[in-house]
Amino acid sequence: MKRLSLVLFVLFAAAGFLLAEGTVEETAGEYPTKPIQVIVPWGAGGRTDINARMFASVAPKYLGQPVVVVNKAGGGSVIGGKYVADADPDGYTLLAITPGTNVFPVIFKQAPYDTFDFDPIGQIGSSTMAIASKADRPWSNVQKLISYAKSHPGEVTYACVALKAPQLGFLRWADKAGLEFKHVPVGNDAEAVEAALGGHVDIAMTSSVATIISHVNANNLNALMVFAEKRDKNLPNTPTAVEIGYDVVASPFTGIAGPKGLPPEVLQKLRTVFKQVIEDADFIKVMKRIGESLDPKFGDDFYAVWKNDKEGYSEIVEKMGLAQ
Amino acid sequence: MLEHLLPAAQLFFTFQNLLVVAAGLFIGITIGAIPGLNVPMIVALLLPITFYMPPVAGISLLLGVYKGGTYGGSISAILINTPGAPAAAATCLDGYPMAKQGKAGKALRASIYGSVIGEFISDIVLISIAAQIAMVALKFGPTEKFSLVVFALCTIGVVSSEHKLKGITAALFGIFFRTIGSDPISGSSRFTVGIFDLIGGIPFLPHLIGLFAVSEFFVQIEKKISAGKQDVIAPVSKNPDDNRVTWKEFKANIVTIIRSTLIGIGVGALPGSGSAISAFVSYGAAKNTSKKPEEFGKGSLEGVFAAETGNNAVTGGALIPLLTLGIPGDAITAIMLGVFLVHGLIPGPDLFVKSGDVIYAVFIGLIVANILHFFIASLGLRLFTKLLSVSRAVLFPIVIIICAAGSYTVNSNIFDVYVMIFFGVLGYIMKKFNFPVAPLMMGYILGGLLETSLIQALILSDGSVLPIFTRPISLVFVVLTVFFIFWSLFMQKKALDRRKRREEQRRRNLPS
Repeated sequence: MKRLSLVLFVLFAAAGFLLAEGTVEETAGEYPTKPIQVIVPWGAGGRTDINARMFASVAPKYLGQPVVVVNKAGGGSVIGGKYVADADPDGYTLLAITPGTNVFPVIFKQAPYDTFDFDPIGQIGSSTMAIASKADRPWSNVQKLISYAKSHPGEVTYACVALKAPQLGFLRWADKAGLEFKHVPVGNDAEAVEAALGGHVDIAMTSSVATIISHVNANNLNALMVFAEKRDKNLPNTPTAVEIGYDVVASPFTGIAGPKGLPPEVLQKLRTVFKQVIEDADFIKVMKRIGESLDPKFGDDFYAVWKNDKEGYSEIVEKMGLAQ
Repeated sequence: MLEHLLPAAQLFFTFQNLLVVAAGLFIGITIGAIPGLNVPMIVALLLPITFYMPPVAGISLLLGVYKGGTYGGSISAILINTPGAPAAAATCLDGYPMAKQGKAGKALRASIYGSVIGEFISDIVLISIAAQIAMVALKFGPTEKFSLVVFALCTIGVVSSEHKLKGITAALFGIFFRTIGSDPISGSSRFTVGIFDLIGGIPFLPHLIGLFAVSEFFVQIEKKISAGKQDVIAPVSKNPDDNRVTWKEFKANIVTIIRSTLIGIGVGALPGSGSAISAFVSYGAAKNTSKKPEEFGKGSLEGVFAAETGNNAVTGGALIPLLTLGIPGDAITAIMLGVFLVHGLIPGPDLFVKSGDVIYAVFIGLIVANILHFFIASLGLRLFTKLLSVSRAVLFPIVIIICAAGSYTVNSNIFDVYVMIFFGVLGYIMKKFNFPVAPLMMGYILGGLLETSLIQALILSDGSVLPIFTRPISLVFVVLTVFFIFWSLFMQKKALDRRKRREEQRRRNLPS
């Protein structure tokens, strides 16, 4: 134990020296000349984290420098977001970005940055949001749910994370359908599914179908509707909101961005590398295995997604008076 | 199950897998034992490595770390009164007093036995009746969880023994500290006093490291510089019976071990709780049913058994909702969920159908890990007890550096180091005024669940508190809470009466 402590101490000291050396600015040479950090504003092991780590493991092949994932969780990703927004736009600090980080300053006025304080590099994927109910509820599909909810306004409960993509997506749909539901806030998708499985709430709204597929296959849950552009390949019988007549498309993205003001040649390099990684056979193979639907968008197309999301969410936030 | 067993055994019993499990245990025990380094952090660091290992190896590695880490915290808790992991906070209460009496060897052995037995039974339960337990766990809605948390909180009164009022005060402060940050529903900031970094709330690990390790550092400094205050630590006893758990002692503690195991499995199976809670509830239950409750806090072997069995039994329990429902119960199982997904194993009802071979191989890995855990921990024992003879002037400065580094690395945020120092000072002040620090941590851990479950329950019942008393499972916990409070008051009174009677007797004997 003591010896171990000593060894660890020496290692820390050594690491300190190495880091100190790393900060010496090198002006010569072409970008990148030192390791690149990707900040994940969430804890380790989550979806964003895994996407970022996958990206980080393939990117060095094309960048010629290591890519290090650093978790900076807290404050619903605002802390990590601020860190990158404030970072030097030199291309050595990047952000694993989701709408939670850059679109939700729409709600949180205290967020110390704006949606467009980042330079978009590319979108890796997007997840399919869905609603599901326990099989014993009096509705087995979304049409029946709608007619039930119409005759029982404010009685049907739904569980999801408050004031993030799931709740705002749900509210956009409920608003268009003229329905009233009761919201039960939970901490994450898993808790929403748990509450629905236990029969404590009527509907689970999750930001990714991955959390419900297994329960749908076991006939414990009915998947009622997805909020994506098209049906999910794992839930071929579940309609999209658009199919049943409500124009709500919201699919939380994951992608890579940098602080605003990256030098053009650095941005160009990063976008090129991003494209190479996304089209890398190994990368595609691993992402497929983890059930992540790749939905690559590059540069300005990614920027357009932010814009769309921001408009969609601003509308409902203003209408419901949700802004903080 | 049987049809999976043979292919599963073939899948697991490779040299690589055995090596990986042993390595995981070793890493877990080491990291768990060093205050400041924490297991979720190491699991997160190992995560990318497991992506490139075969699924059984990757998952076994993390399970080894999980088991080892939950146990490892007890080593520093017993030897230097500083829990290496939150799960071991309850172990300090009796482990350190035992070490001061020269019985460190006995306490460490009890910790190994308790941990391994708790783990083993909970793994067997996981393997045999996971689906049934998961169904029961699902019955716990917000109302039931709220009552359960209230029950867990009331064990604090027991844990804080002589200073009940001070213990409750500390627990309330813990609940208060948890309310700092974003409101769980509206997202608005509470008590952040304009500090941006507080939006995310008080980070748990720096809070914990400060409260236990840094405060102990200050206590040790004080003892070093003020003469006559030094902790009298008896050298490791020469009597072999003080360095092992005798069969008689073990037999006397079997009920405690079984009870703590059941508590651990139950707490583990409920998402959102965890090993620290299980350890404290087990400890409180053991004290309340003990024949010698007055020994608790002064070096009771029963206390060490209760806490250590209780926390390690969680490891099997926490895998129940993870594997059967895809719902992680704590920080480490949350990361493990990622590993399962990366390997194309989607936890949930059809996991056993689709990937039976892999899952049963993982189960074999769990049992093998238990056996290896016993041997690796026993081997380490000799090394660990040497720690007692190391000068604290050397030991604690090293610990404090690791603590600062550990606080920083979780979120790579210097603010977290300030949080650690703040709670170090607070913990020191509390210790000076005889406020127990463990209830503060318990209040902090339980505060989150207490608030969200109450809010959810009230939303669902349209603001009525009635369901707390009318829903059967919830009612059971309400009754248990009331019973627990009255029972501990009764026990306290009995102890007081006994002391009074003894004094009277002494007085009567004096004149003669």
